[in-house]
Amino acid sequence: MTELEQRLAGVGFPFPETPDVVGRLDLDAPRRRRGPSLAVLAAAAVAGTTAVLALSPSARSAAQGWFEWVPGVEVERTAELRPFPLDAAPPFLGRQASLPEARSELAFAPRTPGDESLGAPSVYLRDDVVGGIVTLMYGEPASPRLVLSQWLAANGTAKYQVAGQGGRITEVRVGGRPALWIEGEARAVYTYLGADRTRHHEQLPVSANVLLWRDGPVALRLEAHTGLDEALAVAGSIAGPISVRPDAQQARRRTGAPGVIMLALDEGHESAAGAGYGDLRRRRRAAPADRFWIGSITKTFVATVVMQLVGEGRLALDDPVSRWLPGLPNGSRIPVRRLLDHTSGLPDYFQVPQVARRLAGPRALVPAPEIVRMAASEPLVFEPGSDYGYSSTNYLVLGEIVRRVTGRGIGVEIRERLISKLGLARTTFGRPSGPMRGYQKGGQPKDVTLWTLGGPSAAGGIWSDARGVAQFFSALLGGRLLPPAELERMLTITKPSLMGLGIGGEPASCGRIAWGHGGSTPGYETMALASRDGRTVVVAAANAGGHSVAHELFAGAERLYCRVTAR
Amino acid sequence: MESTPDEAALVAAAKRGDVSAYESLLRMHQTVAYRTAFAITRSAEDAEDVVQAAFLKAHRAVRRFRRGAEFRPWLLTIVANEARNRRRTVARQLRLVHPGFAQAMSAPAPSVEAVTVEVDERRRLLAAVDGLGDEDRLAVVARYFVGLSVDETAAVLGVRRSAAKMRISRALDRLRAALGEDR
Repeated sequence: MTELEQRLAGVGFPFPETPDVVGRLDLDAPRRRRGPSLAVLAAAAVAGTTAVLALSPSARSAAQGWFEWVPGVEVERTAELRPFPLDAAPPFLGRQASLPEARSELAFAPRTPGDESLGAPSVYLRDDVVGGIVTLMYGEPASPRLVLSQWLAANGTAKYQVAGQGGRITEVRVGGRPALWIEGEARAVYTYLGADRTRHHEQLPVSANVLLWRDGPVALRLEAHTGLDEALAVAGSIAGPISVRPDAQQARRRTGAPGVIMLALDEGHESAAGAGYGDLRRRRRAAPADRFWIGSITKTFVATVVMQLVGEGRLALDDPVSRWLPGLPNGSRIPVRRLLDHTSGLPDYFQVPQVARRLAGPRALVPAPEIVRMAASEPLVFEPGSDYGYSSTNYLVLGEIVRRVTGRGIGVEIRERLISKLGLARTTFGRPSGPMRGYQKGGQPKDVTLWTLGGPSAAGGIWSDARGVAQFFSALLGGRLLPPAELERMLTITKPSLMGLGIGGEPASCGRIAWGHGGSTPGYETMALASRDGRTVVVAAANAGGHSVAHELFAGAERLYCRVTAR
Repeated sequence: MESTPDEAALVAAAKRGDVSAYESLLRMHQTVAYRTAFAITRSAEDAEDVVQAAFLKAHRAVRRFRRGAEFRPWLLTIVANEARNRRRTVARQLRLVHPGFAQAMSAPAPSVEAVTVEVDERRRLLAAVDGLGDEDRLAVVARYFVGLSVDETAAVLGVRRSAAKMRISRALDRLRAALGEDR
């Protein structure tokens, strides 16, 4: 082994602790974990016998086999129901709860029928599955007329087996969304991701009629001893827009940060949550309105100002940097756009030891021109345009260019062109008073709120609440900050950076494209993800810095983005 | 590396459908599997999901496992495939949608630990490894941090032994260059 190999082998890479995956495997799957849903059984008990409905040959679904009409719900018609193992275990519906309790514990906002005459429901809540399941029972508790269950569609699938001789499946619509109406003898298998992160399978007999549909991220099941018309009337009265409740608590647990704030903005509806602490010493809880350091998300603000100047004809993307900053080493070989997408080859100033040393510690102040001078006098990391290398130096240079073009600092331009224009009341260039405290993780979290990294800069000088960040991305992508051509250019992904200008765009795990930026600073990690049209924006922030925090926070933001955009 | 007699017996039992033998087998390799998945996905949570899915897949496939072959590389191949599928989108997102993250991973980020990075040799080494390209980094992490053999590293990289050796040596060269240590 060479000396380097020995050093590598001895480095003791900080792998996370291995979870006991084997202990959670379900190798005889689908093994029963729980009894049938009480909701279904309760409904069945009312009926006394299975409702048998004539098989209508005209029903669209008369053919045998599988079909999928409602996403996440599969229905299989069979000649007869396959043997169904009865379970002596008590049916599981969850614990009884109040509606406000359910609202605060579920990862989504539960829907309720608008029909007042139904009376108040009995509410049951399950928290053993991710996101939770809520069941509302209307009518006499012993013999409910309507049983409405809701869960996160992404987290569960339902398979219905409907016997050929006694059942009928009809494709219908609830408020324009595809729905399935299942009558007659049926059996369902529900698969959920449990809170213990393993899949749980639940088989249950169905004897009431069932209406199944999806509304946004939520799957709904209405078990009804009524005809289709009445079921559709109830379903149609279930009020709309669902706002997903961000699971800040889960993100806080996974990041290990003292506090986490998450916000989703969807079609103008906002849903925000805080978890943990915004200030450990004063034991102040993290609140959705808390302000934090958004770090590198500042770069998207700066890129927007630059593109506005381009739109005004005051600056061109192909201008060499030397046109505005004569004397900057290599400036004549670097066009402005290569600063915007990190293809300039300028070394990142955090990697230049003599710069990094001066930025460490609280209240460090190093003027941007000085940082630029020191970083730019280092050799280029690669030929301009030949590669991608994220470098904060690019944005400090852009800040200096903006100063030359407009005669004013980047902070002033951001304030006037973006913050004031959009009325972002809690967004500032530079640290505000009373922010969420930022911590460095460790045995004893260290308060690093006063670190500045040299002072507010174009590379990362903005502090904001989550709403301010969301409003900015919504306005930018919604076309309210840039002319169409400049916005289009900003959102065009080019080689070799494979990003836009000051903004990235990639498919999230659900396949839908998310545009956005992240920020990593001492004490804070932030992530903003938005849909191309700006109608959906997700912001997540944690008041602890570090790779693992960033990674888990990103995963949480991505999950939230996928849930909100699931339509 | 030969399979131990114990392992061979467990493999044989698992092939016959003995679930508890299969579970014992998995427990022997759980940590290496998890770390391999983590090396590829770089997320504790994703790695856990990956390992779970891979173990289930391996269970379905274990009857086809060739008697006398080594179990661990076979298992790691399944884990690595599963992890790569998951990583495909996530990795590039992290690089692009969250450049700040890429920065944090690839080099001293504007974070407390990173700003003081030059004082810490170990961190410097880790930062340099993080700064490698995906393929180079995985080769180094699998071989030296997870501690896999060259054959197992090849299985994880999805390449032949000779290609794996080349990749490891190329990664070491780049690492030396990044550390400013020329041979």
